[in-house]
Amino acid sequence: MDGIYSVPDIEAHGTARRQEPAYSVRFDAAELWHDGQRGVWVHVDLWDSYLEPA
Amino acid sequence: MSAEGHHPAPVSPVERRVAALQALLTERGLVPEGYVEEITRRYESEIGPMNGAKVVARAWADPRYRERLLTDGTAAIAELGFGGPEGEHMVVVENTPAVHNVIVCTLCSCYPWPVLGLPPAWYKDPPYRARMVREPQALLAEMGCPLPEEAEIRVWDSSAEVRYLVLPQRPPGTEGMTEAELAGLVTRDSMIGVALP
Repeated sequence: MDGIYSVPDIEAHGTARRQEPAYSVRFDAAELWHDGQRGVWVHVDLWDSYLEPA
Repeated sequence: MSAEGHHPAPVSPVERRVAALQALLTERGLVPEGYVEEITRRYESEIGPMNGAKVVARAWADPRYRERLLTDGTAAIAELGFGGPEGEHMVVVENTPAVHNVIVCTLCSCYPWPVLGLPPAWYKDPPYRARMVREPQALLAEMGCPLPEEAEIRVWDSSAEVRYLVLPQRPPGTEGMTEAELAGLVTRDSMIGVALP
């Protein structure tokens, strides 16, 4: 977990704020792209509500 | 990748629009007179990659500092007096003989200002942002940072509040150097991860 931060999608629409945990999620490039390289990892920081159980 | 200001370019429509907005904000009293100029001056002359270079040199020279830096980047960087906007949540990622790290912001231009200053133009350009996640090995080679085929590459996309800094490997043959001399070896690009020191 990176920390707990205000969700920007909500912030952008007005004065409402919602704090959510954000996580550093690691993707295997070979799964992201059809020609993704082995040994390449893409780490993306994502808020909790962006994620669904896999 | 575009060249960085070697030739004066004509004023673009977006620059004219920004100037008009700034004049209007100042006129309405929403932005104090000289505020933007002062911020620009600070980030051009006082805050820049020389700060990050001091952090890296300290980590190379002092193993206990390196530990703290990798455990809590924000706090360890604050020990050297650096912090502030775009540096409130710092994570430092360490290069090793087997692992190379590189930072990008695929959404826009998020960048660790307190340690690297303002981002270079190419960092904000769509080709860098798209290709660094899509084909980092090819892009790094084009940028003058070829990596061995078997190297593990970790691309850090600054897509939320965390800002990343790459801790490059200490170059061989630098054992006798002082911390200040070491800092002189550390380039901005090596702390982004698109070059080696």
